[in-house]
Amino acid sequence: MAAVGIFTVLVFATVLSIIEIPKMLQGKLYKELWAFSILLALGTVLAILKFLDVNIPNPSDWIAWVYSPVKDFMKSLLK
Amino acid sequence: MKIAKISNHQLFSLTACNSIGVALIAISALMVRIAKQDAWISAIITPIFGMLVMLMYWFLGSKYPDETFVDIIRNILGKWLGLLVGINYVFFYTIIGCHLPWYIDQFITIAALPETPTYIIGLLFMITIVIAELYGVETIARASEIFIILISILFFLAMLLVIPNARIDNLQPIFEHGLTPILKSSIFLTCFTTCHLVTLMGIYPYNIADIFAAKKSILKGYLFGGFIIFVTIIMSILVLGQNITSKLQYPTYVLAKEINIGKIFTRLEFLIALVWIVAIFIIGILFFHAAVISLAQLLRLKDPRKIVIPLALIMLVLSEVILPDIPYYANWINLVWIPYSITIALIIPLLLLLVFSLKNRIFNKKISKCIRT
Repeated sequence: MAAVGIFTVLVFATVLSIIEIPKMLQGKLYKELWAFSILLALGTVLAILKFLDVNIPNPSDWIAWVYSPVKDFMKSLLK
Repeated sequence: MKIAKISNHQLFSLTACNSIGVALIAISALMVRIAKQDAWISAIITPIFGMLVMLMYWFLGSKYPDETFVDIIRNILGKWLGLLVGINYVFFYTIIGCHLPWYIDQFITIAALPETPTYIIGLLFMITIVIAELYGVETIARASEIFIILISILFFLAMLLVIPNARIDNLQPIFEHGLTPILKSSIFLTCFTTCHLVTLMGIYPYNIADIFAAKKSILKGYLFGGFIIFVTIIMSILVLGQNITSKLQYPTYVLAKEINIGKIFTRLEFLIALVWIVAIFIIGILFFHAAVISLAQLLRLKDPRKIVIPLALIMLVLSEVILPDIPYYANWINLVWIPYSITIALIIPLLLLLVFSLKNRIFNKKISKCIRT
């Protein structure tokens, strides 16, 4: 299962790059190229880690940490 | 690139779909848990707070009619502080946008297709959103115009059919626990129906044809959404009673299961499910669009459509990670989402307005001094 998933993601990323990158080079959209590559690399890495069952840090926990001081107040509202 | 402009009726339907959205199927449980049988009163007073928020967004947009939200922030706060606040908004749009595939996953696997893996449903949902986003704002707005008709017809049909099961004594006694629980629960309702409307800032000042008529259509859309939420809450209390409603995960869905007319019209609960899925779809698009546009504006990209697919991939993976299970979700949404959404949707725009008016005042004084001397 994991191997199939990783393979699919890699194929998807390669095909997308093959289609999109020449267009951006032609249009001289270098900023777009940077943003596209970084986001796609991030997405691919995240997907592969997910398929390998690695614990990905959860952004909801970061938000929960930021708002932990008001937690007790929220609990009192819920009663 | 030509800027897509949307009409006021389209803005109305986008606002209405957006404010119905997440709250439609699940909110009455939380409301009833806090306010008991008086929850419907708080559904009446909530739009009064919400209208003020909407007016604030309208005012903020009307000062800079031809710019996007991130540009407005940059104009008001300057380059570096603006960048910081802009990143904050991109984070908000992306992370909360990941919740919507998760809602659909959970609902479909619980209610309809229990053996389908969740990521397949999430994948289908994200693909639709990507297609919509690639077609552009005008298409999304026109789709929402059709959806609002569909939503109204199906929703009111389901509610009419369930009326024979309503028992008026479920509402009594009114004001049993005083005014405090009603006000408390209206805070929650405001956060669920109003605060995510900050995603409208992804299209609002920039893509609107007539900015001054937009005020009316935003308020009308918001009130329409508020009315639908009011009907769901009062019908849940009337039909199911406060005791059962407060213990369910999807009260409105169960409410539609109660439809039973002459043993012929039964099992119509997917009317409600369809309404909800369509509304969630519009919210998902708006979150995703806001994320793409804000990120593109922050990086000053010329063609925002290039980053659509990579961002969708990231959001698809995060939607599997971000809420591990339902207890985590219930905890997070009650304790963290409320303060977080209030900060993002209320406090920061309020500060922006404050800085804007201060700047204007100082600037005007300088000009008048120059004229005098």
